[in-house]
Amino acid sequence: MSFLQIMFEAFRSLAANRLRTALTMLGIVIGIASVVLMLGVGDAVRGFIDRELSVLGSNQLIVQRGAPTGDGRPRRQLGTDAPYLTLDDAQAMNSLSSVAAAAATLQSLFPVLYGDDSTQSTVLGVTPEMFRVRNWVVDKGVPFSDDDVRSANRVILIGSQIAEAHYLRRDPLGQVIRVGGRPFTVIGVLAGSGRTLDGTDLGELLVVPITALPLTLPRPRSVHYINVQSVSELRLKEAENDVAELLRDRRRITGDETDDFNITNLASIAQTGANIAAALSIGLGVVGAVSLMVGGIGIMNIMLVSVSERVREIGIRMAIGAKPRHVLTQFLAEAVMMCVLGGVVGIALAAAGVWGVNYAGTARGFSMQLSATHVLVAVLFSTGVGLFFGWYPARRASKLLPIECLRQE
Amino acid sequence: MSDVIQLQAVNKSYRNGEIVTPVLHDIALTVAAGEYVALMGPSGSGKSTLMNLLGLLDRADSGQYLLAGRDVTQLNAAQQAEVRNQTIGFVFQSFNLLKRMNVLENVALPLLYGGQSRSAARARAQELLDQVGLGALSGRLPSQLSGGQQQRVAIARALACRPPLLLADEPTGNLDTQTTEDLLALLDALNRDQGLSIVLVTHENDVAAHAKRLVRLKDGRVVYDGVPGAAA
Repeated sequence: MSFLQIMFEAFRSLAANRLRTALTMLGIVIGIASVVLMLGVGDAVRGFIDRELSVLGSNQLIVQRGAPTGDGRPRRQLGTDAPYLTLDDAQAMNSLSSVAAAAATLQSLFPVLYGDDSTQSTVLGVTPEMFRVRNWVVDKGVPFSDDDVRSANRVILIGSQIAEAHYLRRDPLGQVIRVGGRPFTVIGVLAGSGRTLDGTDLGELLVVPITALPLTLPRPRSVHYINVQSVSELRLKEAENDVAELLRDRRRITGDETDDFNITNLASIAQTGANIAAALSIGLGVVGAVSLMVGGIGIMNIMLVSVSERVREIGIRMAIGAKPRHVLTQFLAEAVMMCVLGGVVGIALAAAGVWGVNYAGTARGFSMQLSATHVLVAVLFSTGVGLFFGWYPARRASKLLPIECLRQE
Repeated sequence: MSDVIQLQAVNKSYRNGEIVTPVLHDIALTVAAGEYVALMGPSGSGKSTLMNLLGLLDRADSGQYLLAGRDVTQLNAAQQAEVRNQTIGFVFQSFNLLKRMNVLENVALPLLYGGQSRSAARARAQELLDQVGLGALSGRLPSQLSGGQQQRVAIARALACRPPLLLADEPTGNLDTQTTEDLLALLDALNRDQGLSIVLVTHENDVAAHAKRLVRLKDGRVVYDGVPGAAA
């Protein structure tokens, strides 16, 4: 008997009991959907974090004023009376041997005027080290220099999406943008787009020399953040300790006095995200495994019922020449087909889930895909479940004696 | 011509827990190729058991069985299935067609088990249905046919792999008189024209009269073996 013939017969037999088949498949449907989603979520989160870390680098620290929260999360600066960090703090960090670069940052919302278009945008004032720390690539033009910072030159670099939105057919270089009423000349366009873990959107960046930002703070040379890059991933912890020691020294914090600054490790934020994703993955995996197990047992149960209902049919088939292996494959094919059909429905369900996640998540820079590998894994898995749980009933059917089958009414 | 069936010293008993019920005692039976044998006997005489042994649906406790010259006593389940497929055609009292398959598929099924391709099997099945006069009904389900028609389909199925031997277990038991006559005429023709050996179980003398030889069983022993008319 050909494979096609066997499959056709299995299908006909399942179609004869539609409701029963559908209910039996349900466990497999849920199981396979969970497994596919689990694989998809795992991949998506890993991809998201890898992308983030490849943009930011996995050796990043962010230093800001205010006592640490103790749970490692960044703390809001508002509501602290701790003194601001300064440009000189950043300068001092640059001379630490474990630190590759330390960049001071100020950040504030300004009215921004592109010719006649006016918007409210966040503008960053940074020192040139920031380009290195954040792996910013200047697509067109040049970054600013230490000289620009020293002289507070009004130059500005813009993100690729801003360049596209405001200078579609013109060369952005040399254009004048007014920030807080003051004219800044565009000297470069930054490459890339998309939101990063620290909440900035690369494509929407507006970056000026820190000294040129028209922002009045209680003391001159104050900065909001210092972004630090350690010389290597391995020396990140060392850099964190060095920076802390340096700041305690410079801010005269001694003994067991509490720090009035805090250091956040970007990799650890990413790690937290990865852990949550892993937990989600494991959760779905457990649901999937349990559903597949329960679904498989359901299939075994129904197949046993089916075998005992069809004893007479088995007897007739044997009488006209069905060998034990014919009977075995017939019932095994039914179990496997039930699982594979359930798997296909499960994959469709997972695809719907993926669509939902993407619908809700794309704006947040998160998207997942239904990969061919996952679909293949799911199909193999459901086939495996069918073979495993279908084997015993099919084996039992094939071991029946023709005379006993035919005697049964 | 050689013998299609040769049974020697065959014994069979059924065991139900501690109780052993002997059914067949030391049966010896030879059926020559092309013979038409009716098997009769009261209920419990062992005629159905004997048919099951002849059809390799059941195993004897002891004795030897040569089927078409081949010793089939010690075959395993798969080998037995192959012999049933190639050498024996079965017709049952209750027709035993598969109800989800149409008539053509029912007749083609033994051919598929015999390893033929789907198209070859269907062509042969159609030919057989034409032969039993049901060629036009090949697409129907068994439930859409009369009893007599169903039994003709069963005969077509039994002949699918061109077996030398047809075993019919009360084939007319569920049929009315006219249909019985038609069916027996078909069996007569098969025996006469194609040299098909037939062993037929019945408890009706009219039916047995179609056979050329009558074997009567009682209490698991052959008590008569001769021409049908002289049965006492």
